[in-house]
Amino acid sequence: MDRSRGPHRVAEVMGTVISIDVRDPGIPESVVDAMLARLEEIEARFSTYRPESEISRIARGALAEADASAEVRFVLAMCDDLHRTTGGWFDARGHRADGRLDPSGLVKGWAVEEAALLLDEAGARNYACNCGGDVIARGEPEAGRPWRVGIRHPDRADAVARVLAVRDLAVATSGTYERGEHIRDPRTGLAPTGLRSVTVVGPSLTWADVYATTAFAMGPDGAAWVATHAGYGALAITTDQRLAWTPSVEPLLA
Amino acid sequence: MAPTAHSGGTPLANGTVAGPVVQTQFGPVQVQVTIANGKITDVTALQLPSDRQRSAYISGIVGPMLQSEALTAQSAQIDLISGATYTSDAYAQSLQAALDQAAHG
Repeated sequence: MDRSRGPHRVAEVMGTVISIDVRDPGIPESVVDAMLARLEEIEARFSTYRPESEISRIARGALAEADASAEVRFVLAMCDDLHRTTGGWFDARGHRADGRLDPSGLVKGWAVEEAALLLDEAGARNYACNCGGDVIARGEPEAGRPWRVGIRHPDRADAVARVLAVRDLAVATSGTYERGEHIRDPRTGLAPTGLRSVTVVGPSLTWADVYATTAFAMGPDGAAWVATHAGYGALAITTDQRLAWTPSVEPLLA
Repeated sequence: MAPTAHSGGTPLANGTVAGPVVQTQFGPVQVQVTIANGKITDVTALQLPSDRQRSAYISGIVGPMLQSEALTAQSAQIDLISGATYTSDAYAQSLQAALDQAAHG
Protein backbone atom coordinates (compact mmCIF):
# COMPACT_ATOMS: atom_id res chain seq x y z
CA MET A 1 0.00 0.00 0.00
CA ASP A 2 1.21 3.44 -0.96
CA ARG A 3 1.44 5.37 2.33
CA SER A 4 1.91 8.68 0.58
CA ARG A 5 -1.71 8.47 -0.57
CA GLY A 6 -5.09 7.92 1.04
CA PRO A 7 -7.60 5.12 0.49
CA HIS A 8 -8.55 3.89 -2.97
CA ARG A 9 -11.71 1.80 -3.05
CA VAL A 10 -14.09 0.42 -5.68
CA ALA A 11 -17.58 -0.69 -4.61
CA GLU A 12 -20.97 -1.49 -6.12
CA VAL A 13 -23.64 1.04 -5.18
CA MET A 14 -26.96 2.20 -6.64
CA GLY A 15 -26.83 -0.27 -9.51
CA THR A 16 -23.44 0.93 -10.64
CA VAL A 17 -19.88 1.16 -9.40
CA ILE A 18 -18.17 3.90 -7.42
CA SER A 19 -14.45 4.47 -7.40
CA ILE A 20 -13.10 6.56 -4.52
CA ASP A 21 -9.49 7.68 -4.86
CA VAL A 22 -8.08 9.81 -2.04
CA ARG A 23 -4.69 11.42 -2.62
CA ASP A 24 -4.21 12.98 0.82
CA PRO A 25 -2.17 10.87 3.23
CA GLY A 26 -3.62 10.27 6.69
CA ILE A 27 -7.27 9.89 5.66
CA PRO A 28 -8.43 6.65 7.32
CA GLU A 29 -10.24 3.82 5.51
CA SER A 30 -13.08 4.28 8.01
CA VAL A 31 -14.09 7.48 6.17
CA VAL A 32 -14.60 5.46 2.99
CA ASP A 33 -16.61 2.91 5.02
CA ALA A 34 -18.81 5.77 6.24
CA MET A 35 -19.24 7.04 2.68
CA LEU A 36 -20.42 3.64 1.46
CA ALA A 37 -22.79 3.36 4.45
CA ARG A 38 -24.21 6.79 3.61
CA LEU A 39 -24.75 5.76 -0.03
CA GLU A 40 -26.47 2.59 1.14
CA GLU A 41 -28.73 4.66 3.42
CA ILE A 42 -29.68 6.93 0.50
CA GLU A 43 -30.33 3.94 -1.76
CA ALA A 44 -32.56 2.35 0.87
CA ARG A 45 -34.63 5.54 0.98
CA PHE A 46 -34.72 6.47 -2.69
CA SER A 47 -34.46 3.25 -4.71
CA THR A 48 -37.28 2.73 -7.20
CA TYR A 49 -36.35 -0.96 -7.30
CA ARG A 50 -36.75 -1.65 -3.59
CA PRO A 51 -40.43 -2.01 -2.66
CA GLU A 52 -39.81 -0.83 0.93
CA SER A 53 -37.97 2.38 0.01
CA GLU A 54 -39.75 5.61 0.87
CA ILE A 55 -39.98 6.51 -2.81
CA SER A 56 -41.62 3.15 -3.68
CA ARG A 57 -44.04 3.51 -0.78
CA ILE A 58 -44.97 7.07 -1.80
CA ALA A 59 -45.41 5.91 -5.41
CA ARG A 60 -47.94 3.23 -4.45
CA GLY A 61 -49.72 5.42 -1.92
CA ALA A 62 -48.49 3.59 1.17
CA LEU A 63 -46.69 6.66 2.51
CA ALA A 64 -47.91 10.24 2.41
CA GLU A 65 -45.28 12.59 1.08
CA ALA A 66 -45.76 14.86 4.10
CA ASP A 67 -44.82 11.94 6.37
CA ALA A 68 -41.62 11.09 4.47
CA SER A 69 -38.19 11.78 5.93
CA ALA A 70 -36.84 15.33 5.74
CA GLU A 71 -34.28 14.13 3.22
CA VAL A 72 -36.90 12.70 0.86
CA ARG A 73 -39.03 15.83 1.11
CA PHE A 74 -35.94 17.96 0.42
CA VAL A 75 -35.05 15.99 -2.72
CA LEU A 76 -38.63 16.00 -4.03
CA ALA A 77 -38.78 19.77 -3.50
CA MET A 78 -35.56 20.13 -5.54
CA CYS A 79 -37.14 17.97 -8.26
CA ASP A 80 -40.23 20.20 -8.37
CA ASP A 81 -38.05 23.27 -8.59
CA LEU A 82 -36.17 21.73 -11.50
CA HIS A 83 -39.37 20.80 -13.27
CA ARG A 84 -40.19 24.52 -13.27
CA THR A 85 -36.75 25.91 -14.13
CA THR A 86 -36.22 23.44 -16.98
CA GLY A 87 -39.60 24.19 -18.50
CA GLY A 88 -40.74 20.63 -17.84
CA TRP A 89 -37.72 18.86 -19.33
CA PHE A 90 -36.69 17.50 -15.95
CA ASP A 91 -39.54 15.44 -14.64
CA ALA A 92 -39.42 13.25 -11.52
CA ARG A 93 -43.17 12.83 -11.21
CA GLY A 94 -43.84 11.20 -14.55
CA HIS A 95 -45.78 14.03 -16.12
CA ARG A 96 -44.69 12.68 -19.47
CA ALA A 97 -43.80 9.02 -18.87
CA ASP A 98 -45.67 6.29 -17.01
CA GLY A 99 -46.64 8.52 -14.11
CA ARG A 100 -44.30 6.85 -11.61
CA LEU A 101 -42.46 8.91 -9.05
CA ASP A 102 -38.80 8.63 -10.01
CA PRO A 103 -36.32 11.19 -8.64
CA SER A 104 -33.30 9.08 -9.62
CA GLY A 105 -32.27 11.64 -12.25
CA LEU A 106 -31.29 13.88 -9.38
CA VAL A 107 -30.52 11.38 -6.63
CA LYS A 108 -27.33 9.84 -8.01
CA GLY A 109 -25.31 13.04 -8.30
CA TRP A 110 -26.68 14.34 -5.04
CA ALA A 111 -25.90 11.07 -3.23
CA VAL A 112 -22.28 11.10 -4.36
CA GLU A 113 -21.98 14.73 -3.32
CA GLU A 114 -23.43 13.85 0.11
CA ALA A 115 -20.92 11.01 0.50
CA ALA A 116 -18.03 13.22 -0.60
CA LEU A 117 -18.95 15.70 2.16
CA LEU A 118 -17.67 13.08 4.61
CA LEU A 119 -14.26 13.25 2.94
CA ASP A 120 -14.30 17.05 3.15
CA GLU A 121 -15.22 16.87 6.84
CA ALA A 122 -12.35 14.43 7.44
CA GLY A 123 -9.97 17.00 5.98
CA ALA A 124 -9.42 15.51 2.53
CA ARG A 125 -8.65 18.18 -0.06
CA ASN A 126 -7.46 16.06 -2.99
CA TYR A 127 -9.61 13.17 -4.11
CA ALA A 128 -11.76 11.86 -6.93
CA CYS A 129 -15.07 10.02 -6.80
CA ASN A 130 -16.39 8.45 -9.98
CA CYS A 131 -19.85 6.94 -9.67
CA GLY A 132 -20.95 5.33 -12.91
CA GLY A 133 -19.27 8.01 -14.98
CA ASP A 134 -20.28 10.97 -12.79
CA VAL A 135 -17.13 12.53 -11.39
CA ILE A 136 -16.18 14.77 -8.48
CA ALA A 137 -12.55 15.85 -8.96
CA ARG A 138 -11.37 17.69 -5.87
CA GLY A 139 -8.02 19.46 -5.66
CA GLU A 140 -5.22 17.77 -7.57
CA PRO A 141 -4.06 14.16 -8.00
CA GLU A 142 -0.44 15.30 -7.53
CA ALA A 143 0.84 18.69 -6.49
CA GLY A 144 0.81 21.06 -9.43
CA ARG A 145 -1.25 19.08 -11.93
CA PRO A 146 -4.99 18.92 -12.58
CA TRP A 147 -7.13 15.78 -12.72
CA ARG A 148 -7.32 14.54 -16.29
CA VAL A 149 -10.86 13.40 -17.04
CA GLY A 150 -11.40 11.48 -20.27
CA ILE A 151 -14.77 11.85 -21.95
CA ARG A 152 -15.86 8.45 -23.16
CA HIS A 153 -15.87 8.00 -26.91
CA PRO A 154 -19.49 7.32 -27.93
CA ASP A 155 -18.57 4.38 -30.15
CA ARG A 156 -15.72 2.84 -28.19
CA ALA A 157 -15.89 1.96 -24.51
CA ASP A 158 -12.11 1.59 -24.46
CA ALA A 159 -11.34 5.06 -25.81
CA VAL A 160 -11.86 8.68 -24.94
CA ALA A 161 -13.02 11.40 -27.30
CA ARG A 162 -11.45 14.29 -25.44
CA VAL A 163 -9.69 15.02 -22.17
CA LEU A 164 -10.61 17.76 -19.69
CA ALA A 165 -8.09 19.02 -17.13
CA VAL A 166 -9.97 20.04 -13.99
CA ARG A 167 -9.46 21.13 -10.41
CA ASP A 168 -12.33 21.31 -7.91
CA LEU A 169 -15.00 20.56 -10.47
CA ALA A 170 -17.69 17.98 -11.08
CA VAL A 171 -18.12 16.30 -14.48
CA ALA A 172 -21.27 14.44 -15.54
CA THR A 173 -22.12 12.89 -18.89
CA SER A 174 -25.45 11.85 -20.33
CA GLY A 175 -25.84 10.11 -23.63
CA THR A 176 -26.57 7.07 -25.67
CA TYR A 177 -23.87 4.82 -26.99
CA GLU A 178 -25.96 2.81 -29.41
CA ARG A 179 -24.71 3.33 -32.90
CA GLY A 180 -26.85 5.85 -34.71
CA GLU A 181 -24.55 7.62 -37.12
CA HIS A 182 -25.61 5.43 -40.07
CA ILE A 183 -29.01 7.13 -39.91
CA ARG A 184 -29.41 9.80 -42.55
CA ASP A 185 -32.10 12.42 -42.98
CA PRO A 186 -33.88 11.26 -46.17
CA ARG A 187 -34.49 14.86 -47.27
CA THR A 188 -30.93 16.09 -46.91
CA GLY A 189 -28.87 12.93 -46.98
CA LEU A 190 -27.05 14.27 -43.92
CA ALA A 191 -26.67 12.71 -40.53
CA PRO A 192 -29.14 14.07 -38.00
CA THR A 193 -27.75 16.88 -35.90
CA GLY A 194 -28.76 15.24 -32.66
CA LEU A 195 -26.46 14.46 -29.77
CA ARG A 196 -24.59 11.33 -28.78
CA SER A 197 -23.57 12.69 -25.42
CA VAL A 198 -23.49 15.86 -23.36
CA THR A 199 -20.85 16.38 -20.69
CA VAL A 200 -21.46 19.09 -18.11
CA VAL A 201 -18.71 20.62 -15.97
CA GLY A 202 -19.42 22.78 -12.94
CA PRO A 203 -19.02 23.21 -9.20
CA SER A 204 -21.75 20.80 -8.04
CA LEU A 205 -22.22 17.21 -9.19
CA THR A 206 -25.93 17.35 -8.32
CA TRP A 207 -26.52 20.09 -10.87
CA ALA A 208 -23.94 18.91 -13.39
CA ASP A 209 -25.74 15.55 -13.49
CA VAL A 210 -29.20 17.08 -13.79
CA TYR A 211 -28.09 19.58 -16.44
CA ALA A 212 -26.43 16.83 -18.47
CA THR A 213 -29.59 14.71 -18.43
CA THR A 214 -31.77 17.70 -19.31
CA ALA A 215 -29.45 19.01 -22.03
CA PHE A 216 -29.26 15.61 -23.67
CA ALA A 217 -33.05 15.41 -23.77
CA MET A 218 -33.23 18.93 -25.21
CA GLY A 219 -30.97 18.03 -28.13
CA PRO A 220 -28.97 20.57 -30.11
CA ASP A 221 -30.01 23.54 -27.93
CA GLY A 222 -29.02 21.71 -24.77
CA ALA A 223 -25.38 22.78 -24.53
CA ALA A 224 -26.26 26.45 -24.88
CA TRP A 225 -28.94 26.04 -22.26
CA VAL A 226 -26.35 24.62 -19.81
CA ALA A 227 -24.18 27.72 -20.31
CA THR A 228 -26.99 29.96 -19.09
CA HIS A 229 -26.34 28.59 -15.58
CA ALA A 230 -23.53 30.49 -13.86
CA GLY A 231 -20.45 28.32 -13.41
CA TYR A 232 -21.58 25.49 -15.71
CA GLY A 233 -20.40 24.59 -19.19
CA ALA A 234 -21.04 21.77 -21.63
CA LEU A 235 -19.20 19.71 -24.19
CA ALA A 236 -21.45 17.95 -26.69
CA ILE A 237 -20.66 15.14 -29.10
CA THR A 238 -23.07 15.22 -32.02
CA THR A 239 -24.42 12.31 -34.03
CA ASP A 240 -22.31 13.51 -36.96
CA GLN A 241 -19.19 13.03 -34.83
CA ARG A 242 -18.46 16.65 -34.05
CA LEU A 243 -17.59 18.29 -30.79
CA ALA A 244 -19.13 21.53 -29.56
CA TRP A 245 -18.38 23.26 -26.29
CA THR A 246 -19.42 26.36 -24.42
CA PRO A 247 -16.97 29.13 -23.47
CA SER A 248 -16.25 28.04 -19.90
CA VAL A 249 -15.11 24.61 -21.15
CA GLU A 250 -12.50 26.07 -23.50
CA PRO A 251 -9.74 26.54 -20.87
CA LEU A 252 -10.32 23.00 -19.57
CA LEU A 253 -9.62 21.26 -22.88
CA ALA A 254 -6.40 19.32 -22.44
CA MET B 1 -62.12 40.97 -23.07
CA ALA B 2 -58.99 42.21 -24.79
CA PRO B 3 -56.14 43.02 -22.42
CA THR B 4 -55.85 46.66 -21.43
CA ALA B 5 -52.61 48.41 -20.72
CA HIS B 6 -53.33 48.71 -17.04
CA SER B 7 -56.27 47.53 -15.11
CA GLY B 8 -58.27 50.21 -13.37
CA GLY B 9 -56.01 53.05 -14.48
CA THR B 10 -56.38 55.45 -17.32
CA PRO B 11 -56.20 53.61 -20.61
CA LEU B 12 -53.06 54.21 -22.62
CA ALA B 13 -53.23 56.65 -25.48
CA ASN B 14 -53.75 55.21 -28.89
CA GLY B 15 -50.59 54.55 -30.83
CA THR B 16 -47.57 52.32 -30.90
CA VAL B 17 -45.31 51.82 -27.91
CA ALA B 18 -42.03 49.92 -27.77
CA GLY B 19 -41.52 47.91 -24.61
CA PRO B 20 -38.25 47.61 -22.73
CA VAL B 21 -35.49 45.32 -23.98
CA VAL B 22 -35.62 42.15 -21.90
CA GLN B 23 -32.57 39.92 -21.70
CA THR B 24 -33.31 36.24 -22.14
CA GLN B 25 -30.96 33.29 -22.01
CA PHE B 26 -30.41 33.48 -25.77
CA GLY B 27 -30.27 37.24 -26.20
CA PRO B 28 -32.37 40.41 -26.05
CA VAL B 29 -36.10 40.46 -26.76
CA GLN B 30 -38.10 43.63 -27.35
CA VAL B 31 -41.74 43.86 -28.33
CA GLN B 32 -43.87 46.69 -29.62
CA VAL B 33 -47.55 47.04 -28.81
CA THR B 34 -50.17 48.85 -30.80
CA ILE B 35 -53.02 50.33 -28.81
CA ALA B 36 -56.39 51.33 -30.20
CA ASN B 37 -59.25 52.51 -28.01
CA GLY B 38 -57.23 51.70 -24.89
CA LYS B 39 -56.76 48.06 -25.91
CA ILE B 40 -53.73 46.21 -27.18
CA THR B 41 -54.53 45.31 -30.76
CA ASP B 42 -51.16 44.10 -31.94
CA VAL B 43 -47.84 42.88 -30.58
CA THR B 44 -44.81 42.64 -32.80
CA ALA B 45 -41.24 41.65 -32.02
CA LEU B 46 -38.67 44.39 -32.63
CA GLN B 47 -35.79 42.24 -31.44
CA LEU B 48 -35.52 38.48 -31.13
CA PRO B 49 -32.41 36.41 -30.51
CA SER B 50 -30.94 35.36 -33.81
CA ASP B 51 -29.48 31.95 -34.48
CA ARG B 52 -26.13 33.67 -34.29
CA GLN B 53 -26.84 34.97 -30.80
CA ARG B 54 -28.01 31.55 -29.73
CA SER B 55 -24.87 29.99 -31.09
CA ALA B 56 -22.72 32.51 -29.24
CA TYR B 57 -23.11 30.16 -26.29
CA ILE B 58 -21.21 27.58 -28.30
CA SER B 59 -17.66 28.80 -28.73
CA GLY B 60 -16.03 25.85 -30.38
CA ILE B 61 -17.24 23.46 -33.02
CA VAL B 62 -14.70 21.15 -34.53
CA GLY B 63 -14.93 18.18 -36.76
CA PRO B 64 -14.32 15.44 -37.26
CA MET B 65 -14.25 14.51 -33.61
CA LEU B 66 -10.78 13.06 -33.80
CA GLN B 67 -8.23 13.44 -36.54
CA SER B 68 -6.97 9.90 -36.64
CA GLU B 69 -7.96 7.53 -33.91
CA ALA B 70 -9.55 7.71 -30.52
CA LEU B 71 -7.17 8.28 -27.66
CA THR B 72 -6.38 5.28 -25.55
CA ALA B 73 -6.09 5.46 -21.79
CA GLN B 74 -2.31 5.26 -21.88
CA SER B 75 -1.72 7.85 -24.57
CA ALA B 76 -4.17 10.27 -22.98
CA GLN B 77 -2.70 9.83 -19.44
CA ILE B 78 -6.08 10.07 -17.81
CA ASP B 79 -7.07 9.74 -14.17
CA LEU B 80 -10.82 9.33 -14.61
CA ILE B 81 -13.48 8.58 -17.23
CA SER B 82 -16.78 10.40 -17.51
CA GLY B 83 -19.47 8.67 -19.52
CA ALA B 84 -23.19 8.03 -19.50
CA THR B 85 -23.99 5.81 -16.54
CA TYR B 86 -22.55 2.38 -16.79
CA THR B 87 -23.97 -0.69 -15.13
CA SER B 88 -21.73 -2.96 -13.09
CA ASP B 89 -21.20 -5.11 -16.18
CA ALA B 90 -20.28 -2.16 -18.36
CA TYR B 91 -17.94 -0.94 -15.66
CA ALA B 92 -15.95 -4.17 -15.89
CA GLN B 93 -15.29 -3.35 -19.55
CA SER B 94 -14.63 0.32 -19.03
CA LEU B 95 -11.46 2.34 -18.92
CA GLN B 96 -12.27 3.41 -15.36
CA ALA B 97 -11.99 -0.22 -14.24
CA ALA B 98 -8.58 -0.45 -15.92
CA LEU B 99 -7.46 2.75 -14.21
CA ASP B 100 -8.66 1.53 -10.80
CA GLN B 101 -6.95 -1.82 -11.34
CA ALA B 102 -3.70 -0.13 -12.32
CA ALA B 103 -3.85 1.99 -9.16
CA HIS B 104 -4.35 -1.10 -6.99
CA GLY B 105 -1.82 -3.26 -8.78
